[in-house]
Amino acid sequence: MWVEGGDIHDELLDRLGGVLAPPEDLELTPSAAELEMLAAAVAARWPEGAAAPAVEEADQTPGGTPAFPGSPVRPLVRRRSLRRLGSGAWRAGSVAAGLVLVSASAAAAANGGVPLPDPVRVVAYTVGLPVDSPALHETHEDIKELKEAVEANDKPKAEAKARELVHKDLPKVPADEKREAKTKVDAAIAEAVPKMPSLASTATTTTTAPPATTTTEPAPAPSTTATTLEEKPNKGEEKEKDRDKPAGTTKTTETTTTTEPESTTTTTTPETGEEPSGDPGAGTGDGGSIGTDPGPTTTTTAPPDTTTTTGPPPEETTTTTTTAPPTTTTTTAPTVQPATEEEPPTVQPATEEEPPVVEDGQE
Amino acid sequence: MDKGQGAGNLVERARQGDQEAWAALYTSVYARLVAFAHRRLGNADLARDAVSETMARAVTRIDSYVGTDEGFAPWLFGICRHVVVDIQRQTYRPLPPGLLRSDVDDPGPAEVVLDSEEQAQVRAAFARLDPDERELLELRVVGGMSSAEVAAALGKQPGTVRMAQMRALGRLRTFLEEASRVG
Repeated sequence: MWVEGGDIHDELLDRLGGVLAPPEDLELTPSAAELEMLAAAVAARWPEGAAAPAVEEADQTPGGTPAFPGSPVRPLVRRRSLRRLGSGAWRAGSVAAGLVLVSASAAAAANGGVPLPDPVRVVAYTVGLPVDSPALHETHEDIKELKEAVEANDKPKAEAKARELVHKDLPKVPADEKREAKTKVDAAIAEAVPKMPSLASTATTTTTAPPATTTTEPAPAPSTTATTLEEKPNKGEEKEKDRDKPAGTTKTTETTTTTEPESTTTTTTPETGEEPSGDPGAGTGDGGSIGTDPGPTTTTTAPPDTTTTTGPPPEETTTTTTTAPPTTTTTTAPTVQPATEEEPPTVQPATEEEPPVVEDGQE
Repeated sequence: MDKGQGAGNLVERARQGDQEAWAALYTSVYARLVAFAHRRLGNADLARDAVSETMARAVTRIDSYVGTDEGFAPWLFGICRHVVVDIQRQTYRPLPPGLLRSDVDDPGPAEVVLDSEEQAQVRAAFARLDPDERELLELRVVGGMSSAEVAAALGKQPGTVRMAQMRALGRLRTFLEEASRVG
């Protein structure tokens, strides 16, 4: 029987040791970068931190990057690349400097001043820093240009900008910023129309939508139809906006309290068979996305009307012929329903293809 | 480091998030871990990554470590084994046919001259062992652990590991004898 520490097998182990020994060029001490990574992992695990970073050796070999917080599921390959990225001091420095720059400039921009370069904005927004989304930023820029074109009496450019704002910029704006963008675009176009009536067409699409609708709508059976119409234009965007918010109250709230939007939706629902949630969310948006205004307009009008759904009709019955599509409205409403489909956000991409967790050691 | 008062203190301090304790533990076991990982992965960069990952996991799971006589190192080796497997999966790097260094790195001319025939035979014989046997012997020889520590790392009973090790060495010896007869 073999006994550890004394027979032929130990001799064999020695021979094996000579053969299996690691190559001489294999570093057998942790580098400063690796120690830093460990320190980062420890710091992440104990945020309050018991002791100061214990990496005095870090000075010996610059280039360490506290690449990863101590997460057991961190993808190995990524960390490796990070470690290699940090193998040179200058690289680590530039990465760190880049991060600092991004966060600093993003913070500055968020506080309202410094313009952010587009790439920085994209990174900052993606990372979750409080900056406008690139799309909203683009919208702001175009609004500015629209105003300039109007002031310069540059009709073609103004019209092009108006169209771009309505058809291109707005649809791109993320849901949580859409309301803000919509309001600004509406305001800009409304402001421009007196000076440049030709913009009215564009504006109508966008802003005027509500009034027209109202007109067509037979005031009598108001509640449902009227409401529907009014909502129609909004729907797509509204839905998106309201997703996170409790009710369709949004803008209207100030004046009419909750009544308007809410009731409307509710009433319509039964017919269309919308989702019971009551969330106005529906319209796909694109084509009709322009109907941004309805919200605001409605709001003002609303108060007079009944608390019920009547809100929209009474008002500005006037022109805006285009809106005629009350019918359209009706149709649109149902479309809205697909709200459920829009849900996809739930479908989250598989985070990592981590292989089945293997139990470590004898834990 | 693994045994004794000092190590115990280090582990306790590590549990509290003491950076210095972690650094000390890391430094003390690094050479053995990296040698073992290199043995398994056949690549220095991957080996170092494996050790880094091992420590990262250790940091997050230190609460589950129950101090034993065998100490902290076997626990780390237990983690490292799985990390190595994960790396092999993620990098789609097939395990070298034989885990012998000769199979991984081609020896240069000088090595060829210096490398004795006997060593070549040992390598060849080792390559004929089962993967489990090779891992066990690598933990023992390259990882520098005792049988009890290897048992702790593998999550097995010490007696079981001793028997397995004895079998592995017996087979290795048989292969060597075969080789010398042929040679």
